[in-house]
Amino acid sequence: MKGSSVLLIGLAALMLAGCQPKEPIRIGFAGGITGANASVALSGRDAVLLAVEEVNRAGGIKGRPVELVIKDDQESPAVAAEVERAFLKEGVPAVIGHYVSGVAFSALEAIEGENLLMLSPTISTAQLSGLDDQFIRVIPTNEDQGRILGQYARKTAGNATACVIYSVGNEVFVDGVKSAFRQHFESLGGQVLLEEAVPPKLPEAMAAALERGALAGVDAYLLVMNANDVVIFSQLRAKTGYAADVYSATWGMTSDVLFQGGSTVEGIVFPAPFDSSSRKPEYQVFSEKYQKFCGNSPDFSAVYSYEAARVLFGAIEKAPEYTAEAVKRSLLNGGPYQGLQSELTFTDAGDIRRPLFLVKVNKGSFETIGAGE
Amino acid sequence: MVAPKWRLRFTTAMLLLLALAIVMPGLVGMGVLGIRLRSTVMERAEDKYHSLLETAAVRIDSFFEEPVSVMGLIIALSNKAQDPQRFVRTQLSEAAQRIGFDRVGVIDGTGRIIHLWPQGDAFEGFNLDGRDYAGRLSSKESYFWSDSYIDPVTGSAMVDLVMKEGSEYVFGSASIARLQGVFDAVAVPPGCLLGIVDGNGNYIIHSAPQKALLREKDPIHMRLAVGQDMEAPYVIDGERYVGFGPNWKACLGMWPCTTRLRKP
Repeated sequence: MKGSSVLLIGLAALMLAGCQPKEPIRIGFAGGITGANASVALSGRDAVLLAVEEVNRAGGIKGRPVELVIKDDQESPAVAAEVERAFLKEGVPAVIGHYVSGVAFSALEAIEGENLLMLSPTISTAQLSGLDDQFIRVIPTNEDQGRILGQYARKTAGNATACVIYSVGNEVFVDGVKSAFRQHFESLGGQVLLEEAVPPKLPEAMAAALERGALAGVDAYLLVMNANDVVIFSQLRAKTGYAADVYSATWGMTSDVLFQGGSTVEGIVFPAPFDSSSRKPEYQVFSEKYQKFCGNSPDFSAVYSYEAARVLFGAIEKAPEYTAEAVKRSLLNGGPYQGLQSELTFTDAGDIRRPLFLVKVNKGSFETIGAGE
Repeated sequence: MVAPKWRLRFTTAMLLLLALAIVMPGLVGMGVLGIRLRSTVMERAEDKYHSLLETAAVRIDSFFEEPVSVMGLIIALSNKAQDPQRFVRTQLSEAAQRIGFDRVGVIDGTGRIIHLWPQGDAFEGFNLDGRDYAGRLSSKESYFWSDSYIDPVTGSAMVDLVMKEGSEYVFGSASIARLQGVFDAVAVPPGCLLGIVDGNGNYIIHSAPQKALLREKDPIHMRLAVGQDMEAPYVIDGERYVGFGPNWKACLGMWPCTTRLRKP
């Protein structure tokens, strides 16, 4: 009798325990979701939310639901460090983010040696390449962007002279693009006549830089700035009527460019980290879902953020425990992963190699015009 | 004479059974009644909250009607504008100040801004054809509110009110932060959340202002987008809510409007 009572109580306790909701797996998201460049992080956030919705509908990770903890770094290095410290305090071991290279170093400094892994969809500074640290990314380096634009401008478009206009405040990204552009453009016989620094959101300074380029007679501009500044440049250029080819780093390639720039951004060439005209089924399905979810086509940040989330979910699933180190080992040893358009293979240092495409704005859409060499 | 033990036990057991037979139906009945009562109380509470939220929604509707009327007046006046400078100085500035918009302008059929307040604004001469006002405004509608977007010059999240007159459009741009002012005039029932989402699922206004300022995605919109039923319990900031969504007449006339009702 005594024994059967104990058994019954034990069974009841087990049943009750089974009814308890499972502890969620908390994953962080960090990006500048307010401010002038918010569109990059916002489309990234929405893509990650979509990935979370999907994984939860499919039963979660190891049977546990995924909970996304979203924090705004305001694209400020100081705030980014605060955000990371907050994640550490809350016991979140993996974060998708940040979104601009300018905040990467302070964020990484804040988590050095701590239980936190950062998986960035868009930070591309080459200064973080080849380091065995707590940083992994799904985007190729910024130098690749400068290289393929420099080669295209000189070899394909036949530009002889160029003016580089770049944003102040994100030097770790900007420097890599403009120096690679100069190196490859000039090695093929072109000449970069001017480099103009412009503070963000300052149309007067942009107008002055544009005019200096026109006075120097350049036949190409390279823009290394966010989408809003690309729009300001393009609107001003349309007003003044200066004729020149325009190239922009991927940073400026968001749906906002099309929405705000309209006909003034027609013809701009970007190095795109994905092929927007891809017919790959995985990409088509994602693109359709994202469109339904967010009302517009996915941009590079959305594609890479979604891929980053899926890679992270897979790594957590296979990791023996949910700690930064275990997830990092699982992620780096578990590949290659199926991306939306190609396989994703990480180096031992958490960098990635993948093709870049060239994309041109044509009739209000991004049209793939070729693959980078 | 002492009754045998077995008889005593038998009598006790019978009495217990009799008592149970009498009490059990009562207990079951009370349980059923309790469940029904709770359900009725909850339904009434939900009805009450729903009705309070609908009242708040009507007030929000009125708040957003004023800009529409004022812009209608501008359209009427813009046809008579002989002196564009004077038109900008007087009508546009007065209208913008009255309805609390950050920018008011007139654009031609190609998308180019032809009149703009405030004067000297960086947007002067910009071409807004990418916003596709013409495509968005169907022949049946006299105005629309745009989805929210990031202003390239100020970096603020904004929405546009757009009206058409002939081949021209009048637009007014208001920051989301400014639109939050609606809650100074509209009382949100205690314990409830009230918001309006744009076509992309981002909050334009929200009774918890940070949700609009951070352009959070609305969970009801998200569920609908992935083909799920919107009626589900939602956990928001640790609290459980029941959602009401697009079936409720939207404040802004053309977008799904979201209210949430917290279960008592």
